[in-house]
Amino acid sequence: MTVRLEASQVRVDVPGRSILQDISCRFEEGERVALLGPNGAGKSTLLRILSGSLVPSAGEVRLEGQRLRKLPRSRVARTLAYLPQLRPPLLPLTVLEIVSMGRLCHTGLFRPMSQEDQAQVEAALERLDVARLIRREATTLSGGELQRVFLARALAQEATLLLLDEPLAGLDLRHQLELLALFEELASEGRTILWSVHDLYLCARSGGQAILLDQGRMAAQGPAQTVLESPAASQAFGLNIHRNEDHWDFCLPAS
Amino acid sequence: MSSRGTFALLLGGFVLILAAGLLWGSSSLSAAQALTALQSGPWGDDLACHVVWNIRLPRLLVVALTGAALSASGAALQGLFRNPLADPSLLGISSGASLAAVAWLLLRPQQAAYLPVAAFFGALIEVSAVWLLSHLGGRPNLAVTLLTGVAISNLCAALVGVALLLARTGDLTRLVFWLSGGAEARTWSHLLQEIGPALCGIGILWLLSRWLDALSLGEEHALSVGVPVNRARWLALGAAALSTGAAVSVCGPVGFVGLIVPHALRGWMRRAGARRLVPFSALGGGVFLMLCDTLSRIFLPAEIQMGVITSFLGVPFFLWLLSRTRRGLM
Repeated sequence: MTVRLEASQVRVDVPGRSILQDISCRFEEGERVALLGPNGAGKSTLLRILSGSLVPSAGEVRLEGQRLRKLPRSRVARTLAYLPQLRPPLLPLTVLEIVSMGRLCHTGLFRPMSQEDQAQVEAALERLDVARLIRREATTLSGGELQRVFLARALAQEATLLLLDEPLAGLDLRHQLELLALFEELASEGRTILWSVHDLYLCARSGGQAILLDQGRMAAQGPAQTVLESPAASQAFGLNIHRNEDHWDFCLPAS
Repeated sequence: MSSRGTFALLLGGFVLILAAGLLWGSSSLSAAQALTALQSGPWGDDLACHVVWNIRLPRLLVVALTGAALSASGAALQGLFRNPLADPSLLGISSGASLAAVAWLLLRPQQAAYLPVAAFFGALIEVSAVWLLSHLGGRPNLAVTLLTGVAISNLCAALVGVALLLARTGDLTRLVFWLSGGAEARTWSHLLQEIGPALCGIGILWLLSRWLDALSLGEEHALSVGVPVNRARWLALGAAALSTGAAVSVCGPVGFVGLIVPHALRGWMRRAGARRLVPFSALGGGVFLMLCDTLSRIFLPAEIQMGVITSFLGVPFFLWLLSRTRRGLM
């Protein structure tokens, strides 16, 4: 398997404390990895480091074997699409304008959109079930619709690596499960998907792999269900986590 | 409305207001007189020819170019700062340009041709300071950016006040009139002084339109789709400063044009992409400011500076926009 993205000995310090410590991980072709952890565990910071939008205090990140920081952004964007946590746009760009932005790393500033570019945009709109919204202004969309629009933008990039920060937040259960199915489908096509999540149920439903972050450190990694069953997960979330045949129990520990 | 329809409407408005501005003023001309004057060229020796070629036409074109520069800058700055309330005057860019221009007029009165250069550097330093100071504690919200602009704008205004105290009586009247934003007695030489940097700034902003759209969603989104964020930001700030500096150096600080016109066009066209918004705002800004200037000449008893009129229109518009944006301010 090709190693797409690799972080070694990454540390992020802010005055007075460390947000991430000694993080080393690698992501291969076709992998689906849930980045699991409670609020404040460092999931978003790790995704920002892996996407190159934040520079680590120590350690380095390599994209397909090359140092991420040395690569031009357009080259990075053709391989890696990063979706930060949802923030509603303040200016009324249309859905079509936002999804078409995914082609910017292919067209550059000046080349007009080709038929191939338009086909990719249309395919992404269809896949995320937002084709009917193309004329809508993004400022008028619900959180769930907006999340799917941004995911369509990431797919339109044709990147082989998708880094998604809380992509299921704000979606109804049907769309959450549809997206988990989409992740599986994309992984089977050879894409690598790293997505952050704090919802244990969704992590359990996701299949794939998981990395557990606790207070800025990697506490466990492996198949998602194994990570959830580990004592490290119970400790990180401060919950008793049990698997009973086909369902999971999450409850507060007896005081 | 479609882009073609909007363009046709703006172009029609431009021609109509240009014609009205040529015909009417302190002394009105008939359409026949104006046409004859236009046909006989700038070297005709009758009064109509002088009024059309040496007074009204250069004034209207200077005003149109000023409106275009301020409005295109506003459209770009709103995307760049992710702030629907951004405008060259509200962010204090016009004040920075004014301060530099006033200083230049006082220190180098014989070299007024270089005024746009001084105003450009004033605008660039001011907008860079707003950007850097508002980002000191991390990603700023809308209110922090605006308040930083207001603070620096006040500092510039105070320094302009000091400069005025130091000015001689003769210079003082000229400077105060210039500072209220007007176009009286603007000639072809003013147009020549303004046209290069203003069109260059607007052109660069238009060329950067895809980057500006991506930046309007936030730096991380822009970075993710391949925008070299730092280079894009400084190029856009430089281009906005160039066109604003050119406009301010010739007509003084004219407020709110960059706020009113891009928002009106976004609502009208139902789209906000910079590729259309920047050039359409430039055309719309030209039409709007020519309208303000022409109305002030035709209907008001004493000729009021167009900067005063844009402020009368702009303040209620800003308050209305503020009430719509309040949720995003915090």
